[in-house]
Amino acid sequence: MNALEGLLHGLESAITPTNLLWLIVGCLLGTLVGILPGLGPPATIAILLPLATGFNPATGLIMMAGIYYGAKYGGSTTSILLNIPGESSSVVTCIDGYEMAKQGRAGKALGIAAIGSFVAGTLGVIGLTFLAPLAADVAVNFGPPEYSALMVFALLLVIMLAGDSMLKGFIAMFIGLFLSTIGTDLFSGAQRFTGDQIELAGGIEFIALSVGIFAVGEVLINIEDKTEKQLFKVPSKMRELLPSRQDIKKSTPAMLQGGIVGFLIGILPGAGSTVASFVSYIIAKKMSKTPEEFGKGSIEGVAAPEAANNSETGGAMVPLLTMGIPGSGTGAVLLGALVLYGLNPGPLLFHEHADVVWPIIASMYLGNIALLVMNLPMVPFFAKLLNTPYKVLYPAILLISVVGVYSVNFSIFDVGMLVVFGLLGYVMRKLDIPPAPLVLAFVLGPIAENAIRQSLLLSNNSPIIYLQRPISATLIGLAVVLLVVLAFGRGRKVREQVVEIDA
Amino acid sequence: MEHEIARRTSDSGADAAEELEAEPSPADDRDHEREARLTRRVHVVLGLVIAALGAWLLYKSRTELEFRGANNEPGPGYLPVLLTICLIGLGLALSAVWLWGPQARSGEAPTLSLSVRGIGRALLVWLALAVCAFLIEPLGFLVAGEVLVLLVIVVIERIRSIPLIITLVLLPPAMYFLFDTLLEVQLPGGTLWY
Repeated sequence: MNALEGLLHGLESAITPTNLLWLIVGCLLGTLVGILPGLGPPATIAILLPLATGFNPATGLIMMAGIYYGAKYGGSTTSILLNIPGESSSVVTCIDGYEMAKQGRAGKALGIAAIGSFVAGTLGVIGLTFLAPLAADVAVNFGPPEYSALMVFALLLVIMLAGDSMLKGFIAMFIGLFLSTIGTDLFSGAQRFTGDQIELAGGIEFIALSVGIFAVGEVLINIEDKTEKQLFKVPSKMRELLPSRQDIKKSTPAMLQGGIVGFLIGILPGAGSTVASFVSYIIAKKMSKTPEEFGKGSIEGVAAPEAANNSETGGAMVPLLTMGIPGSGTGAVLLGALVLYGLNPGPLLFHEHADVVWPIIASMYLGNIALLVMNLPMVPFFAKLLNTPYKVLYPAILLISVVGVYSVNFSIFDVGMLVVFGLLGYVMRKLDIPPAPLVLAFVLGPIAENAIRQSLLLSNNSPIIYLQRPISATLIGLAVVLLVVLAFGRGRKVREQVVEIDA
Repeated sequence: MEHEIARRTSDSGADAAEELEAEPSPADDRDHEREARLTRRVHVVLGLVIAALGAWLLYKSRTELEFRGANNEPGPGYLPVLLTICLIGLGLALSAVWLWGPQARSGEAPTLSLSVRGIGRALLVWLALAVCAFLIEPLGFLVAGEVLVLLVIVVIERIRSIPLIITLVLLPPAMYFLFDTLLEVQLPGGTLWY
């Protein structure tokens, strides 16, 4: 059975009234649960898994696809409205999404996130349908040196989110990398900087760190000025609550590149969607006719990471279905669900269980459509939430943050970490230190460290290994070029400013 | 420049007033100078604090963790040592840039907004959150949540509007119902009661 035949067969099996009903229910539940901070797609799927396992494999997995897409969209809703990233991949969406919300353009941001998710999610699934075997071959060639080089490249890209001061961006990045080393060293079992706290043995909880730095830090900045008014303006006209034709036209290149980048990076197991979202953000900024708007509420700055975040799903399904390698937390939960249904992901899955695999892929198409049809009408409702006076909204944000962080591990210690990182987030903002490089470096740190140490183990501590393999050599070369561009580009900008001042 | 001045003097009264508003007065200049000095001092101290923190962490990494493993492979202290060295360098670089950099010395660098009143208000809210986090274990989410809300109503915002007070007081039970009852995410009930 070729890809097209398989897909048509899958669509035929998936489009039954029962499957469609559960797909819509899954999408709705996923959005509603995913909107709660701390409950990203993996947690949402895990919570709702018992509901889906009551059905036959095809229906259950179709419902889970709906939950997954819904949860992803729910995560971007809190990022845009409240600056609370539900998971690491939503961090980049916060940058421009929240700025848009502050400018009274939350509806447009949410709308473009839904449209971008649909366009790129569809691209990702098309990629999965036709390129899965080829992409799987490339992914197999990615060993520790290639991952090390990719992470070095990705960490240098993080600096591009640094804002005006590259020095402060590097400081934030190194603090994030250092925080990621806290916990048990996976190679030796040694405890690093845990202070004999058993709760730190597994490392600092990402949700506590990200919600503290982004949400609590932002609340503390916002309440500095006592104001009787609501913090954000929300337009009253329905037309102004949704993206205009011009907004969609402006965001289309960002959506398409986000879709392609997201799929390609999603194939690589690891922090796929996080890397995908900010690589596509950087590319969108470089390609944009108005790069100066990025970081200040650019609609392309929402479209690109959201698109990448969604098409990554299609990419992440490639190693999951063809090799049984889950690329992320969500992938691990989905793998568990597949095993629960008696399916063993691997090269033979497409041959032995074509009756289940193709309906799953088909359901991803349908999930994308259901997401757009259901969530676009809900955008004005979500945006209107910002009409709430801020003195009511901020205690709610603080309490939701506490519940969200607590619900991840049922740990009071994590709530304490939330408080600590909330203060850190506030101090960083006051001192004009960008928080995004810290949070992204924290996510990429463990992957980078593992890959670097594995590579050095393989090569008897010789760094030449990075140059001996074509993919890693190319990536290292790109990283060097990027570093030169960063250094000299900034230097030139500073020099230009000095010349202007002198003149 | 002369042309610019001539244009300004020929403007209408209202426009001239606006221009005057836009033009920095000597008092504004003094404020800006003070802010620039403060920003410079804060950055120099910040750089030194980061460098000192880096040095302390480097000391801990070197003394508590092995830099190399048994077969000379990178040990658990490998990355922390490299990272802390970088942090020391970056901290010192930050101090140096703000101490001797041309932009910082000429006062052209962007200033930080460090109003004591604003920082005090933010720290008060942070303290309320810290109290709530501290009370969650012994008193449970509901009571700790109500303590946070009451601190906001009575101490921080001094809210008098009855509908707002009712909304805020109902927040913790609403969240408890949503998470604990509907989603079955067990929230702490309080060790003091159970």
